[in-house]
Amino acid sequence: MSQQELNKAVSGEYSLGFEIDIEQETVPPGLDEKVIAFISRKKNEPEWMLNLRLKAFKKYKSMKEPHWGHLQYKPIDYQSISYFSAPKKGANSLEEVDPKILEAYKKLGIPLEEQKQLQGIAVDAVVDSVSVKTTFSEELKKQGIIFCSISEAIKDYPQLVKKYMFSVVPMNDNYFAALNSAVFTDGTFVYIPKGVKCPMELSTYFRINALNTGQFERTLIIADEGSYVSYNEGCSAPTRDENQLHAAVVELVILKNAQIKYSTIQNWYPGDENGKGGIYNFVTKRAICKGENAKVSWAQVETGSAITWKYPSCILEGDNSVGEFYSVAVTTLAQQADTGTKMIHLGNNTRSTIISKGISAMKGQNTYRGLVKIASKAKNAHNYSECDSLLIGDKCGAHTFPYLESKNKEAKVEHEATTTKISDEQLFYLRQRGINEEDGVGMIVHGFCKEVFNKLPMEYAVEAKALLDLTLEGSVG
Amino acid sequence: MQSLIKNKKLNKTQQTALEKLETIGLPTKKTEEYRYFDISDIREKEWDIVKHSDINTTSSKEFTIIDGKVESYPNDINLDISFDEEIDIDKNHFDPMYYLGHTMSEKNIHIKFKNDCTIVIRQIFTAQNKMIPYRISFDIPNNINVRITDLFEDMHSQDIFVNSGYDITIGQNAVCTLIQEKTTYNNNSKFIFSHYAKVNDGGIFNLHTFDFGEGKSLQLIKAEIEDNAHINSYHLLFAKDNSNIGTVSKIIHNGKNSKSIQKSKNILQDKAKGIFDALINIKNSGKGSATHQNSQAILLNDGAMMASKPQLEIYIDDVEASHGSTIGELDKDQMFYLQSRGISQQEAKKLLILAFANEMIDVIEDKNTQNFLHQSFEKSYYNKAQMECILTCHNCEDMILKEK
Amino acid sequence: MSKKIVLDIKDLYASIGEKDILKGLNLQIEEGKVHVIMGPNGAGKSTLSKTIVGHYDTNIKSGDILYKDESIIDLTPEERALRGIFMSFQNPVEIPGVNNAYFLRTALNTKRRYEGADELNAAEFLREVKKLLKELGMKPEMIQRSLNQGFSGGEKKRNEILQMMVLKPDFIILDEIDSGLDIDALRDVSEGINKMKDGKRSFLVITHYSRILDYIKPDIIHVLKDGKIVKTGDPSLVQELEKSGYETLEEK
Repeated sequence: MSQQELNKAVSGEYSLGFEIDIEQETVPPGLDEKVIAFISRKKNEPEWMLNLRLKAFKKYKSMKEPHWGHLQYKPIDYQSISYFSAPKKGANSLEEVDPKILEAYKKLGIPLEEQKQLQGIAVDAVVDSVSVKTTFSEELKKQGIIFCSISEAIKDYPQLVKKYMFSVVPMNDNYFAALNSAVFTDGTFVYIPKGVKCPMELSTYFRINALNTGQFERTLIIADEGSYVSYNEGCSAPTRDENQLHAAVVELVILKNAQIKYSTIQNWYPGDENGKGGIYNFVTKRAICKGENAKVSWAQVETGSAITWKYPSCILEGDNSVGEFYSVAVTTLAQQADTGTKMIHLGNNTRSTIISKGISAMKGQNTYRGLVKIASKAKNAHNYSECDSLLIGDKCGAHTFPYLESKNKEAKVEHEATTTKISDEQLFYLRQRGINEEDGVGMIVHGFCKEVFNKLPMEYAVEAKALLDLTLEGSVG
Repeated sequence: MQSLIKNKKLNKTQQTALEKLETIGLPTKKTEEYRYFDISDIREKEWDIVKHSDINTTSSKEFTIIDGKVESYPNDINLDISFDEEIDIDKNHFDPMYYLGHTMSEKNIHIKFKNDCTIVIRQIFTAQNKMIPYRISFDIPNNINVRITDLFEDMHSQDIFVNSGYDITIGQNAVCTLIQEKTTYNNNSKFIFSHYAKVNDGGIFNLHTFDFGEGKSLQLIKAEIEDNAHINSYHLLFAKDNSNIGTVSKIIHNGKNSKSIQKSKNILQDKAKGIFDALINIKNSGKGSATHQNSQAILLNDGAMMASKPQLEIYIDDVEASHGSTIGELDKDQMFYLQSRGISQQEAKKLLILAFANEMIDVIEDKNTQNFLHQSFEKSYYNKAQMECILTCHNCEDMILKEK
Repeated sequence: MSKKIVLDIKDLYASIGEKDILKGLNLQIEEGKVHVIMGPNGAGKSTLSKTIVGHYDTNIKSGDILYKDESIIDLTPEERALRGIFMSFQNPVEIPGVNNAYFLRTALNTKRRYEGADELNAAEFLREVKKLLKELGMKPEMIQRSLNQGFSGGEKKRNEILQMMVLKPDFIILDEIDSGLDIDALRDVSEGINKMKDGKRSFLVITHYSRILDYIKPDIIHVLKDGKIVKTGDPSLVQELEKSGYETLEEK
């Protein structure tokens, strides 16, 4: 396969590049206590929340940006970013939402009304720091399910927020989590009561709009005993020249016999061929299986971002708890990703499965970094990890850095990794049967990722496949 | 530690090493390579360097190095030994202790091979409460085949800190086989061996390390392999008591069609902590290269720990790269099979552990060395040497089966 | 004249993991006889053999297994082996690094010690084994290799029979001994088994197909279906099964 042909096949045109042209109330760039107080006031937060933010900011100031990732990027000037931006008009119901915003969503393929009628999926659409009214929250409320923005939760459900926020990712966990804890502007809050199985996929759509605004979402999902919820996070962003910072925190709490499925399809702007522009994505996602038999799965398809630093993790505290991580990460153009997962086995009979598929093309650098830690009291723990990397072209890189630490003799830890290129033999076979090169590459790549796609909720698996094609096969959507 | 260095008169090699050391600094708690091997007590102590008498070296069949000084060596026409060679050291080594060793060593022990050769080196430690820095370099010219068996004895020493290692240059199409056996004892000593090997076009480096015992010992290896060069790196570890033993290695494929196979087997007992931190880096110039890395660990009881970090850094697509790592206990089906034949659980366990370790010993071609290693392992594991026919000895079987 | 009952299984309920497999199985085997268990897949044939030898997967819920009048359900696998129970596995596990000769010698010496006899040293053992290797059509090198590693199906089965001939057990379970064997291997293996038939040794042959029964003459045929023995008869039962299959059989 010639290099030119390869390049054509993998540099998809980014089709979602445009911006919402509405008035925004944007805070001037810079970060200090005044900005934080401004954010808290804008959101009408109670005193206790502002105090927590300030506490986090104090910790943030004493920390240093981590640089152990296999990433190279221009230093981020945190003082040149604006930490709040909101569309001017408030919205009480869908009808009151600025029509220009609604139009933007149409282009993105999520017309709220249509979805409400046909697909039965509740959508909490976040536009640059403010939640556009939640569509289905009334209907879910009948089952006792709370699905609202984090700002509303802070006001309406303070006990739950106080109990669980920061319980999975403490403020001082890492530099970006501390930053997020101080300046988070919005995010999703979900609470599923005991024994309730949430009847629909819950989803959130993000969008980053104005120049120099970082997006700092904070999501908290609590699955009470015996409950179940499947949550999807999908995002897109417009073409920009300035790098945009995204530092989110997601906390999942799973109690006894409950289960959370968290899927992410990420389509942030990746920057151009020379690494210019694109989103910087530094995310801390963590789940704690607090009760017996608790189960959590992270499934993600990442195709965007210029820089990705992300390790969805599971703390398996409850006996028999299960943590799963399924990921497809694509780095092409000049993207760099240092991602992976952490599985911490504390309880007895815990199980974790890690299936990570990385695809690198053009000048992409894809790094898997994982930690499997088995405490000495964690009896009968099992971990299985499979990290495979596919390299397309001779200028990209694929790296695997697993950390396996076991202190319990009965624990079984198994890790395998392979790094290969697209097999010439396989490609030739397809071509001999009349399939052209680009489609052939697509087939092989799909086969490579099948295991992960099978773990996504059906509606999103389809979207994910399309997204992968878009990223790799040069077809313009 | 710093004070020791200031008042020495340094030659060119030592000067270069010192400059590099000052740039990188000594390892701290945040240094990745020392994440599982704490050296704060080494750093903080004010060490006395071991002093040697001026007795000249004698000629004998074996190579003996006592407390870092060569006491005897074979008068072999196949090699040259010198003590004042200023060698080229690696200027991009990841380990500051490599540079510390070069800075602090009196004279570099330089061995240049002239023909195919087999040598045995005994490194013996007898000192008490001293730091022992010394470096050895091997120069293996093109097309030469060399076998080095390297044996350590630290039974009679106490509280020492040994900072040593090899600089090995393997010429084009040359072969170097290095078999190293280190059994450490609970005598509060610490060993840090930091190596550098350069395998030139078509060269082969076979490294077999055997680490048994109760002490604290870390080996750090950096190997660079060029076009069509091979490295086979095998490590067997059996650690017990409160020992902390392991391997940190970085194998870098610079050349096309280069190949590396790295295998590590680890058995941990009591409160021992084992380390296998191994990076394989295939550079963009390493088209057509292949690497397969595998590590297995068995924990014999709760509280023993294995830290395994098999890593791949690949910068070119035309490669074959894979690694696997497992940590666990003995295979249940295998245990059951032996038990179903009347063998007690205890005995079955022993058999399986020996089988696990033996895979690494049985690849050694020389039968005598093999037997020695079997004995060494069994002594460490059983705490006594087997007197009768060794468990996996094949010699008498051959004889009997061929009898009429 | 009633012969001794060497194996008496009373109302056995056993499961593998969550699944109940044996549901009230009763079986009595007289000393010196060859009993055959046939039955459809999933009926519980291999679970039956696993419970007799004490496999870690099995869970006995109720009932008992008496061997030579002693209950064995609480004994470890090696305790049962030393009492004379031997199973030839359907898929013998490979144990790389464990020398075949060393393993067999250890097993033999453990038994000899248990019986109060002298142990054999390596040389003595090998001389004994040489003869058996030849009889079984095994190449001498096989005793020097790692246990079952790289052995073909037929070689693995021969190795099982070799162990049987060395350890000289009293009660032998042959689990699908004929699966994967070609004609020569089947013949050699059967000859080895037949040599062990001395009127006092008892056999439990578990099989799908009747081919092995052409070589090893059975005394009694049982059909295991739905976790129980549903029919017992003389060797003519085999032809009946071949004609009509397992489905038409009614429960006892």
